[in-house]
Amino acid sequence: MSGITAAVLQTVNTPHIESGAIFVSQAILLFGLLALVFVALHTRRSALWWVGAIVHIGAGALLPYTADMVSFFMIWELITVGAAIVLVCEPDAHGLLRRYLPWQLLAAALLLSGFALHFAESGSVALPAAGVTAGRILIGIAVAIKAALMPLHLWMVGTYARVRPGTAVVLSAVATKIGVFGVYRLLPGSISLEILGGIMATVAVLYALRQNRLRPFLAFHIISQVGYMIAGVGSAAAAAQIAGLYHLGNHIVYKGLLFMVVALMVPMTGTPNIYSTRGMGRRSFVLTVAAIAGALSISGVPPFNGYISKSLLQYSLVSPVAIHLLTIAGIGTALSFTKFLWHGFLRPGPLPQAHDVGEGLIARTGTRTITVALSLLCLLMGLYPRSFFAELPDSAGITQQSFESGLVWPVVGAALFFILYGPILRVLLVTLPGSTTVMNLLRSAGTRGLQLMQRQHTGDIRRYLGWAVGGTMLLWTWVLLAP
Amino acid sequence: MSMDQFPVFLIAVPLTLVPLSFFVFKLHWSVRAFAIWGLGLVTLLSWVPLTGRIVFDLELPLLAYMGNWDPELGIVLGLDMVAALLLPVMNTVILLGASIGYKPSEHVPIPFFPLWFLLAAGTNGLVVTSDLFNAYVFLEITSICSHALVAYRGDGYAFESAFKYLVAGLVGSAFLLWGIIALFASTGTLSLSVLVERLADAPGPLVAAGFALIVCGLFVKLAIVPFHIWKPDGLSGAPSAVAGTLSGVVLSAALVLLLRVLVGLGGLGTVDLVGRAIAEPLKGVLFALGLASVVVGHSLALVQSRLTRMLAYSSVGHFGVMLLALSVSTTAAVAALLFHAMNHAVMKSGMFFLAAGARAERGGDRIRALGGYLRGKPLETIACAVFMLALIGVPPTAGFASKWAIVVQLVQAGSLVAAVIVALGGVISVPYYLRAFRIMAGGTTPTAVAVQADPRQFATRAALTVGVVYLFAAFVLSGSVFALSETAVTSLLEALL
Repeated sequence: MSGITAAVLQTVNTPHIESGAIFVSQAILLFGLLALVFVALHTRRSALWWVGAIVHIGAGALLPYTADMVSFFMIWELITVGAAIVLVCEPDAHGLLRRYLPWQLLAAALLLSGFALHFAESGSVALPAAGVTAGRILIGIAVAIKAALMPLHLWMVGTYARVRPGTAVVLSAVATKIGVFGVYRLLPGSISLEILGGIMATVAVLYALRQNRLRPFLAFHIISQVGYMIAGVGSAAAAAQIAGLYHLGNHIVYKGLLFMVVALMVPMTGTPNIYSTRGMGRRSFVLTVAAIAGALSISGVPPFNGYISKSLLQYSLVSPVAIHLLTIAGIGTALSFTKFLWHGFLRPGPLPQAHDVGEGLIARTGTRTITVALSLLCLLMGLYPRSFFAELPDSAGITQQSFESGLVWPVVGAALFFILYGPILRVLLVTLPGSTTVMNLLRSAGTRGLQLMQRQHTGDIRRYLGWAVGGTMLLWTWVLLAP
Repeated sequence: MSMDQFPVFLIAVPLTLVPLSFFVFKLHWSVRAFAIWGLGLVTLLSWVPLTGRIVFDLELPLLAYMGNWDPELGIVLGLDMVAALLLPVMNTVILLGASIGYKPSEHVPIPFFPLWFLLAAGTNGLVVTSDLFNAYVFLEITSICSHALVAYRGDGYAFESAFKYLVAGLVGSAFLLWGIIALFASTGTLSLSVLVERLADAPGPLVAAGFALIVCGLFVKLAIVPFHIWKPDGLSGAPSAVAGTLSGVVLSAALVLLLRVLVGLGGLGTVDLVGRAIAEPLKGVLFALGLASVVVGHSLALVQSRLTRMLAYSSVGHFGVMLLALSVSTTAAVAALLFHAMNHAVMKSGMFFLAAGARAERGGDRIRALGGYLRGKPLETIACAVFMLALIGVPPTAGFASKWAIVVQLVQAGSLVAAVIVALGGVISVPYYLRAFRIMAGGTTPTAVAVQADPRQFATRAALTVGVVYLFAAFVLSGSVFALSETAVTSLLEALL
């Protein structure tokens, strides 16, 4: 015990300061503050909620600076604690916690075990660096849960779609991003992580395409964007890691912006269904501009910030497979957000009955000001990337040539929406297994197995003796045949 | 007096108490209850070697050559570190189990005290013997007492349980005896210390077959899948005080014999002497059956509606975990196994003793009928929570320390699958313990259930307190306990030689 204490005391006072950590921390902090102001203007929350949200964001901003496993684990758990407090204040607290906590606790247990193994092997509490094997698999699974890697994403989609809109804005900033930062700090770069990220980006886009409700749609796009980030920060190439980190910062800004837009538009249109929302373009100019800025950013259209990080990723990744996968994901993203913009904002047609939740004028102006500010931030991060993140290479920026080449794939995606969306959707609906389907399959397999086992245990002593004698025979044969 | 003759007393004292305790039945029932303190004496004796080792640097093993015969012909009792560690736990559990199980009334259907004294003699003998045939005899004594105690309640269900346990136990004993015969036929001796020397020159197939049969026989006693069949039926029909003692003491004693045979004789993993790798081919079997036990035990515990059946199935899972540790068979892994066996003896019997109290109050152990049992019983509530956390493997309990050590060993041996399955077993056990705890602590008493006062509440509470204190203390001292059990594993051979 005293060994651990001494080791902690040695490292705990030396925070981990490097440009990547500073950038991530500042991005979380800046957006977190804006999100808190947004929520303050948007809806009334209890004091407890504020405590939880501030702990959540504060811990998220603190985590990148940790240099030892003990503080990393504690702050990592503080993020979960903050989120849990926030969820307790939600109307459906019980259901949300049941969805959220088991996964997070599992991640915590795995991370702690992985750290313990690493400590046992290395004898140091410094965060595991590349080349360390013990506990890496456990740490990897923990980080994958936090980053909502595809089969482990159920906690996120389930939570983000069921909380109140403002809460989704706050949660979207920290949780998964911290998982990505975990990949950056704890796992060594490899080609397989690049490809994993590419697969995740593509598959999640396909799932996002078939969503018809706004927030699950955004949640799946988070997973897809996290795929980009993992491909970047999980790469062995330094340039790709930088690009991945910049994508992380960009994503915090534009995904937060999109969640805010959704939070503001759902009360106005009165429906969370993408296909039923319409006429927002004629109803709120500011929101339309913000939605377009967010959509262009996430689709990687120059000169918005998503373009910078996505194009850098395309240049710096090692694996060609990952590059192709990310291109496909980019087309899918553009298609998907064209759908969002078209149905919600641009589609002509009669306006539905207006719903207004009666926000005050100040709140209305305030929340919309924040969306405009974030839209501007998206643009500025695209135009002057190096003033936000100095590590980016000189080549990062918008030129005439890159502007034209950057437009190709988003335009293809947008065109696909108008030409082929119907067939694509039909194919996706048939071929992709839904998460409920997968869960049901697992559950029924589990119950079947249990029933099978239960049915074997009839209590008939003759059957039992058969097992014992049969088992002995098998074991006997095994031993006699063994060399 | 040399301490070398000490192991004899561990068997002789309870054995002497058996005939003496028949006279007790002539006495008034209130005086008769004091006979329990015979077990107190045995328990006191059982603490001597461990205390002596820790405080007075007593030299272990203590080897008693009965009648000064040559080891090849005579009987040798050897009390090594393994026995020194397990004896105190086992005897304390027996004392507590007997105190809880004893019903002070005029009518006692079968001789209560002789059975418990004989059980103590049998398990103590099984742990300290250095002779295979003696081990068989002591195992039989233990089994016969257990069968009788399972049937103690005397109703139809108890008899059915006892019958199933009897049949399965006899099959196990038969396997064991055949295995011992095979070893005798191939080496001409049954003394473990002589066997070790002769096994190298013995005909291979016969020895291998003997080992397989002994292992199968012990698997039946330990209730490893697919030999686990008697356990849920046997333990749920028995009085819970007896069930706790069985799963805590009798199984631990059988486990010691398994260790002596596989590690001591078979040279499993820990020893690299030439010609001692007889048990090596069994590693795969241990691994597969351990895995199956973890999965089957914990899964079936999930769907039980009766508390004791649930506990019995979870026991199957725990012995699966120990088997997995044995399949790794490094010194550290076997030491972790020993530690887990001690912890399991305490936490599982603790849960059974708690169930005994619940059963006495509610007249049954259906979980739904136990609604609100823990209401207004702070000690029972705390104990129940601590035992359940320890069984799941949550810090700061000793159950966590030993399970964690096993998982680390599994990971270091490269069997990540097994480590994940063990962890998963812990995860599966969360919902069933949580459900039971929620109903018992939070639910309301069903109206159809008649609540009676539990006459043995004091004994139950004492037992629960002891268990809780042990689980925390062993967690705090887990480093020292682990060091002790590591010396125990290295001494597994020395006791025989």
